[in-house]
Amino acid sequence: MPNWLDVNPRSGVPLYVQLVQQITHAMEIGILQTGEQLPTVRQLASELTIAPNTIVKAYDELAHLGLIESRQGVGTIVTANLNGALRPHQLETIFERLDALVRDAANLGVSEQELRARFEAALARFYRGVQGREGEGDTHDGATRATVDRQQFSRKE
Amino acid sequence: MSDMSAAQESVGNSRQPAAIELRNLVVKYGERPAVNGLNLTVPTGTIFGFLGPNGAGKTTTIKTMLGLRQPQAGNVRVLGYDAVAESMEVRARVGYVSEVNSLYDFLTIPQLSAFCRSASRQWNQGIVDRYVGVFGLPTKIKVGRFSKGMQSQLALSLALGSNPDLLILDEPTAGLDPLARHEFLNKLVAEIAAEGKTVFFSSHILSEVEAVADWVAIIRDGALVVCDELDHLKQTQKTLKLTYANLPPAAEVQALRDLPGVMSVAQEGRSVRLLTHGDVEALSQTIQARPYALRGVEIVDLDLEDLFLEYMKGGDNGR
Amino acid sequence: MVVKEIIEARWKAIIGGAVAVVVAAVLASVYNLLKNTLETGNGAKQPPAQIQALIQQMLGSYDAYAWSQWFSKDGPELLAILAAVLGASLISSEVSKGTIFFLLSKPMSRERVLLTKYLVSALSLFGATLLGSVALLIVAAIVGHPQQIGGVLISTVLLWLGMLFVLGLALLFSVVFKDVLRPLVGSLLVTIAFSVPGYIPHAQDWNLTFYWASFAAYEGTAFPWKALIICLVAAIVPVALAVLLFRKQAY
Repeated sequence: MPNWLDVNPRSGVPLYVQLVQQITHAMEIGILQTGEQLPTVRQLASELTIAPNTIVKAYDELAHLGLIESRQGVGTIVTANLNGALRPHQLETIFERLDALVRDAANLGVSEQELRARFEAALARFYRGVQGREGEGDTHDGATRATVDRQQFSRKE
Repeated sequence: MSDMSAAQESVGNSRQPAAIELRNLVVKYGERPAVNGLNLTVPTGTIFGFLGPNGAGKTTTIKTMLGLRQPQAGNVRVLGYDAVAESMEVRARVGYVSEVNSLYDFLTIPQLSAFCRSASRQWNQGIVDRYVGVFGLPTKIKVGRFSKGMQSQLALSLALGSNPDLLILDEPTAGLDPLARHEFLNKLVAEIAAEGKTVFFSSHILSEVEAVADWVAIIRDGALVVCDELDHLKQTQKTLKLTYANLPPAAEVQALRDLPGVMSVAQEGRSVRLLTHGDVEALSQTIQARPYALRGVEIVDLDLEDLFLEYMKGGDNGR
Repeated sequence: MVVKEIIEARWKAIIGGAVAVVVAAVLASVYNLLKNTLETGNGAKQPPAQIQALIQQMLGSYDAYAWSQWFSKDGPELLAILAAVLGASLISSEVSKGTIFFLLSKPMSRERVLLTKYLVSALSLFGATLLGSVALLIVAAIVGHPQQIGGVLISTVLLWLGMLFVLGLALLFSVVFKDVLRPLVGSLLVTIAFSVPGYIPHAQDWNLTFYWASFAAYEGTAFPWKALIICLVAAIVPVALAVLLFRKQAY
């Protein structure tokens, strides 16, 4: 069973959005591979103790994004691969995070120049130290969820 | 994947008649209205959480649905049947677990099952036996010796014996310890809702509703405050926290109140909290374009408890 | 539902039936003893003439003694209490325990619920009444005064019909009140009130309890048509009222 799924019903983020984000993330980092089978609605409802309709909604959304497919008699299959349907979605998420970052910085009173300087510095650091930091960056990503990114980024400032 | 498509059907079927439909319902105890003009639609196939403070009229509403009370005005339809004129049809198709543990404590499970069979139109003992097994309930001893959790589990098992299309549960987990509650809710979502049955349950424990319900309604003083898909509610209802550079004039606060999508406004000095509905990003842009300098703008997601509290205090500027 | 009602009422019915058997048997067996004591043992104190007449009336014949002691006095008193006990809890105990919600959420009409409960109690009551009569018959035969079976039977039915009035009243009060005590006491008080005309001169015809027993019927000299019809009507009225009330009652 998917122990990488960890939804929080008490969050302000809708449950189905959490599911979509976490399943997508699992695909991004390779926990879920193309062709792999997702748990059935009933299994997942039982595992997470959440309404089956919520899971149906999340699966519908994932199917709509072209990441999964329901096949008669087989189940729900991951159809996404990193270069296919997943990529536009990933890019979209990344840029959304960028927007949020800029907005949060502005709200905190960080000036445009300072933010640009910081951004340049981050770029330089990443591309210079690419060997040493890649793995760390990945695991960090693995632990972070888009749901809490907004706060986490602002806290790091 | 048959169960998924079955559940999908139940979700997508917005054209299907509603499981429960209340129109302008008024139920009085003497002169005092316990339910006062309640309107409510429960879509088929949902797990519907029915919320409200004590005395809001939840139990009265449920009793009226089952024909235990007669409404003074309004219309109640359950599974397409009129709850007053066709109460028998309603009761034949609804499984009911009441607030108080209302099982006959001098009977054993087989005796209670026999009673239910004789009192029901159709009965499937196999279903009851299966759930009694799943919950591990003893069949030899009298129900009066069961713990509260076991009695709730048995009440649920028995309610399922008539193979109902709709389950109505009045505070089903009241008095259960966390483990028993979890087990109860787990069976509810994993077994019952997954079969496409509609589950309508009242509760005052917001966290359990938040976890298992996909639709919620909040009532207060016998009238509806909000009824929506929970995810939709969380997506569309946000709090916008504004911090002004200087104390905003009263006229500006009033102007905020009148903006489309603003449901209520609370001001404390330079900080203003808006309960918003709809596109909060757009609203935030609109507000930032107004001629009063803002120190900060923060969009806050609301969990069900926040939403509940906002609705309970936001009576002045409700929908 | 019948089984549940029987399980719920069985101890009351069993105890009531057992007490009826014991009382009837004791009454039937002590006739000779009483007669001997009263007729021979009056050495020191001679009872006043009035009481002597009473004793003579009571102990004059075994038939009159058995009828007056069981069917006219101890039987109705004992069985009326049993009827009130059985009827008082029928609805009110379901309400006070909260089981009424479970019961009324089932697809059964209110009439069916109420009448099933009533019928089970009525049959328990008949059982207890019959047991008392059978005990009387057997013991009377043993002590050498065999009684007419027909007369005992018709008196049993009459007594039972009379008791149904008490049961119906208790049922009616059980629908009205939400506790068990008030229906119990209320139904007995109202029954006593209906016997008040018996103490008023010339009002004997209005004493309901008077019709519960008929010596002529016991002796087999007359069939108690009037008494049967009056008892039947008296039994039906409170039940009909209870049904009407219960149909509209909100819980």
